[in-house]
Amino acid sequence: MSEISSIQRVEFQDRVRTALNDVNLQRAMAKAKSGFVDKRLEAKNALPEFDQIRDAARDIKDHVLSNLDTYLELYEEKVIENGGYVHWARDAEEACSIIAEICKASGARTVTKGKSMVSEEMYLNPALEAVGMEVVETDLGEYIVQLAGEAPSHIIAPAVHKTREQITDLFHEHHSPLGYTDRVTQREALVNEARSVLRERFVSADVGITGANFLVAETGANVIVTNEGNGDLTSSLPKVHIVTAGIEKVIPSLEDLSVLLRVLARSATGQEFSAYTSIYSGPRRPEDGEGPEAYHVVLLDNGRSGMLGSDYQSMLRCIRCGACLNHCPVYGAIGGHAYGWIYPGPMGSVLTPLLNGFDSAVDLPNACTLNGRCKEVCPVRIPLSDLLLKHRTEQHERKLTSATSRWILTAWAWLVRRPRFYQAVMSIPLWIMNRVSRGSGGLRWIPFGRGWTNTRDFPAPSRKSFLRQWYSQEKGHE
Amino acid sequence: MSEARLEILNNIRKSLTAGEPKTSQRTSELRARLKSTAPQIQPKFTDDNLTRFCEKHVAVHGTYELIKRVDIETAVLRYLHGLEIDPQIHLGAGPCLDQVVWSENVFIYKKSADKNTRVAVSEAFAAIAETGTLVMRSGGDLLPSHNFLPDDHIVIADCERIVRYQEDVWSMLRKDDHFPQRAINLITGPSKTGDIEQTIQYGAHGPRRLHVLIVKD
Repeated sequence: MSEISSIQRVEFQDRVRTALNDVNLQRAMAKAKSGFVDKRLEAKNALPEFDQIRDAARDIKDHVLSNLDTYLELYEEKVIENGGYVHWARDAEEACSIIAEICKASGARTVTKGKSMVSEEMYLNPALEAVGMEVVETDLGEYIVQLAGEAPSHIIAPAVHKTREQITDLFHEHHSPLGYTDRVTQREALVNEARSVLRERFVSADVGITGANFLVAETGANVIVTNEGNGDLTSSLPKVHIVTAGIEKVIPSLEDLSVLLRVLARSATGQEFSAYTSIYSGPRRPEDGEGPEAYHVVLLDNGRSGMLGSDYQSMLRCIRCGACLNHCPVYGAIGGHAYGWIYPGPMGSVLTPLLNGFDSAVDLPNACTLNGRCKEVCPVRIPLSDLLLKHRTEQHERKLTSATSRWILTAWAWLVRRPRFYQAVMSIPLWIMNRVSRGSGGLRWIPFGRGWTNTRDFPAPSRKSFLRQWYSQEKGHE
Repeated sequence: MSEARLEILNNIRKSLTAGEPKTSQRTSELRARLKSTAPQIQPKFTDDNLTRFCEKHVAVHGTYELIKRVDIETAVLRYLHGLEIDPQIHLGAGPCLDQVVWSENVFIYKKSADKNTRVAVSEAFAAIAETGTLVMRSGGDLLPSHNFLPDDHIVIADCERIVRYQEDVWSMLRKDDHFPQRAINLITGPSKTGDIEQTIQYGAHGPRRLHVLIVKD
């Protein structure tokens, strides 16, 4: 928790500056750049029904959200029928103490974890370490950021900000004491070394904690989607399996699951289907040869129930695919850590103020160019850029923005509502800028615009405003 | 704990319906929806199930061989010999596998896989043509550790059980005595990761290679 709250205290703009000047981060992000975007487009183009399936996915999520109380009860009923336990947590702290209690009661010492963003949201690892548990992340990316003492910087590629050289250093430092004294630098060798180290952890863990991509009300199951198989080893080998999930993760039936799975992997990594999609329900049955003896689900609210019925309800449709991050130019430039909390990019900029309080992240909804790519690629059609605008409006109304910016916006609003006056006023800077550029087409300097003109010229406006050109053309046509 | 449950459910109701109590009618409507198992929109494709399965399985780095039911042992031995791996296998179960009378050339473990397991031979409950996916379920002799710990996973798939879509598998699983099984593992290709420089490496935690023996008499 300490490193995250200290990240939070640094101003957003400082974090951005640091990120832009971080050579390793910029190298790693440049390498990752268009991979996910190109692969998603390929997968989308290979499936003519993609947009129709997205509509169906959106409708399923909307249907669940408007009946969420009942679906949660139906889901709970089935989990209990299967021999599992359901725990309800109002906030992060409550969730952590429930999980810590389960671990302690089962006499656990070591815990393996599959990738779970909701466990990041509740700061679970430090809470478990505080009660004496050794916690090991098993998703390779999560494992790398755990070794580095960092939070993930991408919701599906946690270590996207790390270069191979940095990973080499981390492995060498942490694996040497375990007997892996050779410094390995190649990707294959790095993956093999982590495989071998983590294998020991999988087979000796007392408790396995995973997230859930979906919870299926029909069968009381949790679904996890991975490529590595780490989530499956975490779910199957220890004697206790704990599932953490936000309350919005429930869906009705396996047929609904099929619809959502068809858009999830394509949107996330551009795969048609991930290597492992697993559906787990309850502990081992009496006739089973293996499997956990106990199965717990911890359902986390943490502000979600308050989002229902609000202008932001559609954000609860999110299936955490990461497509909006991959397509966001701001995310691509600054990486995930600059956002200050575990949910980065467009989905994070919408979600963080809703879960942590509007005044906790005033800068996030403004760190957006409103290019709308996030909204365009969202598999469940969340109008992300509209929600970011809504946040800005709300900040203005709640007076969370600076007095100067509110004053300028009020004056601007007054002006644009008076078109004739607006045109008259705007013709003045137009005239000046044209004079100064002397027909060169660019300006080397404009007042308050150094952030722009430091690196490039500001394009000079055309001599006539758009409206005047329009009117004169209209006249010409008549 | 039940206090938290009540508060969360009440908050949801308050947000959704301005505090209206939920009706038993709505609950039974939703229960009915859970039982209606008609598939929603499915991708269309023209290839037959076997062709599509093989094409998709190969596209995700899997390998396969079409064999006769009586040749299972020969095919397993041939595959392992090609990789220079000793024929010591963790053996699963299933209608095809159970008929095999293994010779002395194969050393068989009938137990969970462990961290040193090299090879597991399993039989798929079904396979999905749409995505080239193998469907494994737990229960009795069927051990999910066989799917995730070995270096090499050899899976027998009865050609008759290659279905077109995921949804066809759900109906088959519902008819199974063990439903809902503790574990249903849908496997599409060997284990992989892209976490180092967003470049795919096979054999992250699970099998490095996935070989399917498709039984077609």
